[in-house]
Amino acid sequence: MNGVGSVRELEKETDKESPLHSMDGRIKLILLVFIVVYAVFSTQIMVMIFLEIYLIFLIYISHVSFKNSFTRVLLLLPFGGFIIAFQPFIHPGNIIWSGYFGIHITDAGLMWAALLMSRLIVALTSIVLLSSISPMQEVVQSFRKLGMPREISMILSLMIRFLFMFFDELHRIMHAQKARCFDAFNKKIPYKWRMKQLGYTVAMMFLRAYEQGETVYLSMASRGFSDESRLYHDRQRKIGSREYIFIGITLLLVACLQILATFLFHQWGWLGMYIL
Amino acid sequence: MAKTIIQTENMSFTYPDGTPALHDINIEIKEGERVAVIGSNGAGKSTLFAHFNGINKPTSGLIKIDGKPAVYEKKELLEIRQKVGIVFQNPDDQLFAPTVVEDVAFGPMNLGLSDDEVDERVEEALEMVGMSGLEKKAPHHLSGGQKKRVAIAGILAMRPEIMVLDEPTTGLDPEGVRQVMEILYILNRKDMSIIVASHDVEMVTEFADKIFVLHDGEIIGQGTTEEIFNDCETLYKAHLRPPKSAELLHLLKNGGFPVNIKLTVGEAYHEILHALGSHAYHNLLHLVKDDLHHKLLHSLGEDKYHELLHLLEENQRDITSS
Repeated sequence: MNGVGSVRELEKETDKESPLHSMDGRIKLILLVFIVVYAVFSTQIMVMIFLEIYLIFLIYISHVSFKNSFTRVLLLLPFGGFIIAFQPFIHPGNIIWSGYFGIHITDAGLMWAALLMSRLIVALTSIVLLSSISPMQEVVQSFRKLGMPREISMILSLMIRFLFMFFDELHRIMHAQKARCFDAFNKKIPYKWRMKQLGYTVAMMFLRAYEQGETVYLSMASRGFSDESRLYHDRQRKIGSREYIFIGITLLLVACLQILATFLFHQWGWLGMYIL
Repeated sequence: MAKTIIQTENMSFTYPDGTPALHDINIEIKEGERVAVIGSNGAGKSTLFAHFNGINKPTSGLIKIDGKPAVYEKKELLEIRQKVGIVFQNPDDQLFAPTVVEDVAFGPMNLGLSDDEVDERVEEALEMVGMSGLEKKAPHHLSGGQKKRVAIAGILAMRPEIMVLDEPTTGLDPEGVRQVMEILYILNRKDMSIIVASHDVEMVTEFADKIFVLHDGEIIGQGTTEEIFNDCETLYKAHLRPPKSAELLHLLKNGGFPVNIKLTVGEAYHEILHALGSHAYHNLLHLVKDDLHHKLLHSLGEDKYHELLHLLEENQRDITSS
C-alpha cells in the first residue's frame, strides 16, 4: 500500500455504514482512548486478551475489513516493537538463557516484553478502529467539541483538507515523471542523479505547499477571518440510545475485567500474573 | 439612477518586491451591473480584484466601496468583505475546510452571527447553488463544477451586495459553465452586482453589459460589449481575440461586404443573411455544417426563416433590456 493508496483505503473504510460509523464522534473517541488508557494501567496479559477480543468484535460489527485493519496494526508494530525487543535482555530477573558477551534473557524481562507487546497491540487496534470508523474531520470535530483550542483544531482541519490535495499533487508529479520514463529504482541511471530528482520532487512539494498556504490565507482573509473568528461545528448530531448502549457495554466490560483481574485471573498461571 | 458601488480614482499598486501591477486605474461600477474585466494572463485582473475587498491596499490613488473610501482597519475591512465577496479562480484555494458545510459556514461565523443564523444561511446558500444534500461531503470528493458552486455558496452565505468572480468558467465542462452562469444570472436578477474576470470572450459577450480591458496593469478600453468587441485594435493589443462570430463578420467587412459586427452566433447568421442574400447564406450553412439553422431554413422556407430570425432578435433585445 503506497501513501496515496492507504489514505484512499482508509477513506473507503470510514465511508462504510454501520452502527459504530453513525455514532457521535466524541463517544467513539472517548471510549477508545479510555480502552487504551485502561490497557496501559493494567498489568495482566489476560486483560489485554479480553480487550483485544472486544476490539475485534467491534471491528466485526463495524464492517471494517479485518485484513486492512491488521495489516495496519502490523505496519505500526515495529515502531514500539523495537523498544520491546530489548526488554528480555535488560530487565532484571531470573536468568533463563545465557549467551556470549554476557548477554542473557530473564523470565521477568520476557514477561514484561509480552505485556508491553499485548498493550501495544490493544492500543494500535483501538487507534486503527477509531480511524476506520470515524472520518478524520469527525475526529477533529470531536476534539473541538471536547474543548481543543481553536488554533490547533483549525490547523488540524486544514491539514486534513490539504492532505488529500497534496497526495493528488504528488501523484501528478509522479505521473509526469513516469511519463518521461523516470524510475527511482532504475539501476542503469546514476544513483546521484536519481536522488537529485527525488530531492527536486520534495522541494517542489514544499514550494507548492507554501504557495497554497499563502493563497488559502488570502481566501480566508477575504471571508473576514480574524483572530476572533469562531469555528463552525455540526450541532445536529445528538447523543442517543445507540451511544448510551456503547458506553454501557464498554464500561461494563472494563468493570467486569477489573473484578476478574482482582479476584480470578491471578489464579490462571502466567497469563493472569501481575507483571510489574 | 443606479448608485455607484465601486469606484477607483487613479489607483496604482506595486507589489512589495517592487513589481508594478496596476497603474492609474479609473473604473466605476454601478449597482446591479454585470461587469467583465478582460485581459490576458498576467494583465493584473486578480490583483485588481484583490483591491475590491481590501486584500490589497492601493500604493497610490483611491478605491471607494459604496461611495466611501476604503479604510483598512479591522472593523471596516470586515464590513467591506461582507459587502464584496470574492470567488477565487481555483476553488481548491478557497475550500479549505474538511467538509462542505464547514466551508460554507466559515464566512458567516467570521461575521459573528448566531449558530442558528449561520445554519440558516448555509442551508440557503447551498440550496441556491443546487448543492443541498452534500453538506457532509469532503471537498476532494467533489467535481470541478461542484467545487466552484460550493465556493460560490461560501460567498453567498455572507450575503454580499457585490460578487466578484475570478475566471468563473475556467476548467469547467460546458454543463459546469451553464450551471455557474445560471447562478450568476439569478443573483443578478436579485440586483446583485456581478464582476467577472475572464479571457473567455464568448462567455463575456453573452454575460456582461459593461467591459473593462486590462493590459499590463492599465485599463486600455472600457465600454459596452458592442463597443469593446467592435474595437479589434484594442483587443489585439490586450492579446485577446473578438468572439468567433464577430471575427467572421470582421473578415467579411474587410472583404467589402456590407455587414455590421454582431457578437452572438444568432445575430451573426442574421447579418450574413441580410448581406449575402439567402442563396449565399444557404451555401454558408452548408459550409459551416450548421444542422439546426439548416433544418429550420428548409422546413420553414426562406421568408419564414428570415422572419423567425427577426423575432428571435427582438426577443433577445427584450430580455437584455429587461
